[in-house]
Amino acid sequence: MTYSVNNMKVSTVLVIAGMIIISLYFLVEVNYYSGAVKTEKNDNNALYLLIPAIGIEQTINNKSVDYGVYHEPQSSRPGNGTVVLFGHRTLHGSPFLKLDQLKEGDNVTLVWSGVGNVEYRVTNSSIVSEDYRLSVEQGHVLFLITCYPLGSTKQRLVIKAQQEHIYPYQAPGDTPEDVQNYCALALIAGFFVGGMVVSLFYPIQEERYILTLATVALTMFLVMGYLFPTPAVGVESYISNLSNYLGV
Amino acid sequence: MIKKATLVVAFLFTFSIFLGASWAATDQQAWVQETDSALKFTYLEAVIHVKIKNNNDHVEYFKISQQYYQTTPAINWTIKWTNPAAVKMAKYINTPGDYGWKIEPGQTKDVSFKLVALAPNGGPLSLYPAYIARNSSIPNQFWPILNEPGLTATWFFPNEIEYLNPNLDLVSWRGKFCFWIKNMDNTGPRVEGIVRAPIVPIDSKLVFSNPKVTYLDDELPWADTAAWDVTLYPGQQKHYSYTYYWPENVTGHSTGKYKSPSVSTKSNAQDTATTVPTAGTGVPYALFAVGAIIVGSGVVYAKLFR
Repeated sequence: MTYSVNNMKVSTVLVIAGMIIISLYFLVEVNYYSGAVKTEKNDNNALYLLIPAIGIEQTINNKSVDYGVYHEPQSSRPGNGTVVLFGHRTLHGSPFLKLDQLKEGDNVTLVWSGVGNVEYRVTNSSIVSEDYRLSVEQGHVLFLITCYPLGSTKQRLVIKAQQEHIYPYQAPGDTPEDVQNYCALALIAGFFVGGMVVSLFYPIQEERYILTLATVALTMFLVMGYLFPTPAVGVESYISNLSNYLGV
Repeated sequence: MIKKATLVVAFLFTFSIFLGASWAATDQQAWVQETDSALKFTYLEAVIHVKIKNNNDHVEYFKISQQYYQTTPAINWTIKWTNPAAVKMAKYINTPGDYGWKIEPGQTKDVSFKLVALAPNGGPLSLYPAYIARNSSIPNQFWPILNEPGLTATWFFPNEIEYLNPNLDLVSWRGKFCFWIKNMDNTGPRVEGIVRAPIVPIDSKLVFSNPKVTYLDDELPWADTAAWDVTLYPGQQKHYSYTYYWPENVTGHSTGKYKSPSVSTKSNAQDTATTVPTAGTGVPYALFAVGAIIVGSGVVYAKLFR
């Protein structure tokens, strides 16, 4: 009997541990979708990144890379020097998911209030280590930076584009859709349903209530992330550290 | 059963504390977007002195323009005077016409001009500054627009003149700016707040201000933004003036002379020390898979070995 009880505890703890790990990823996305920077349609002060070749039409912020495409504040505004933009390749809406598909000669446009529509042409791409430091005094060029390879933080993909022309400011006619809150709610609901399904079909009937409690509690964490969205830098750091620790 | 439930809740509570600490450690700056102000500019002028050299083997023109694009809703500067007298350019990109100075090959020339912002169509003063035009048909550089008059600063990059026409080498630059602000609310209470210089040259040094600045806003490392703490009663106007020099490292400004006869502003990635880390832009997926495997393993373990 004692042996059986110990076995039950181990399996239940394993399931809860796995749910916690999965909830961390959900938390990052819930934070993103519920806290993303809102942009008014045709807002003349909004900044945009347009890359038709890979279907990117994103607003740019200087708040955090966790809110989408992020302008490095130590770099210049377009037209004034080197521009550096960061974007997540995984999670946070994955704005730079397809950045590796850019080819030499592809057009990149920055729509920048106070400057204009600044056109760039992709000249090359390179892979650098994660500790690489990029000079922000390289003339009138644009750097788009994201992680490489997909799902890893070991290296960086750096796309370089040369400035060509600046035209009068004109916001995109069909401005990017706002990131919707309902995505966050859908993620929370999805996590809850998944957890309840696991609880419902958990083979050890007398332990099901524990998994139900865990599901409810973790769902409440996600709800907290929805109600009080904060860049989940700490969570990501925890995920990265744990990944490194586990060697995965 | 209650004991088990208590353990689970306690564990999750500890987990939540950990997450809460992680959140609290994050406090990043937001994009500043003021929407309106009781204060308005009622006057803005700029007197610019430029020492510029023609590095080409043929004559070049250093040009200035008076108007922002027609697509923007307002007229901007008018040129009040030029010294030496500028000539009207044969080819121009704005209907009021562009002006410029002829610079012979190898010649270094001092030019000055005064710009005053206009009130277009009898409306409120527009603050869309002029831009210095490229010496070709396609303009590609502007003086930045004042999006939020009186509340946020905008930037001018003196050595952008070189980018506009790489054959012209900017030796030095001095800009004296003067503006009036007014509390447009004649009935409400007094207003107080920080007013930043409406135009701030990049990589330049503030060498004069009247009244004395309250502080130099160094939020942006490449600009010393003059900032004043102001109090304005209903209908009251105040006047501010300030002067910036470029390049920033020039000394002896009190004489009005530059000690550096020539300063290279060419960008060079090899010898620059200004670098930024390539920020973390991804989250490893592997741990997510590990989480799913652990859940599955737990279920299988419970099913097979209970």
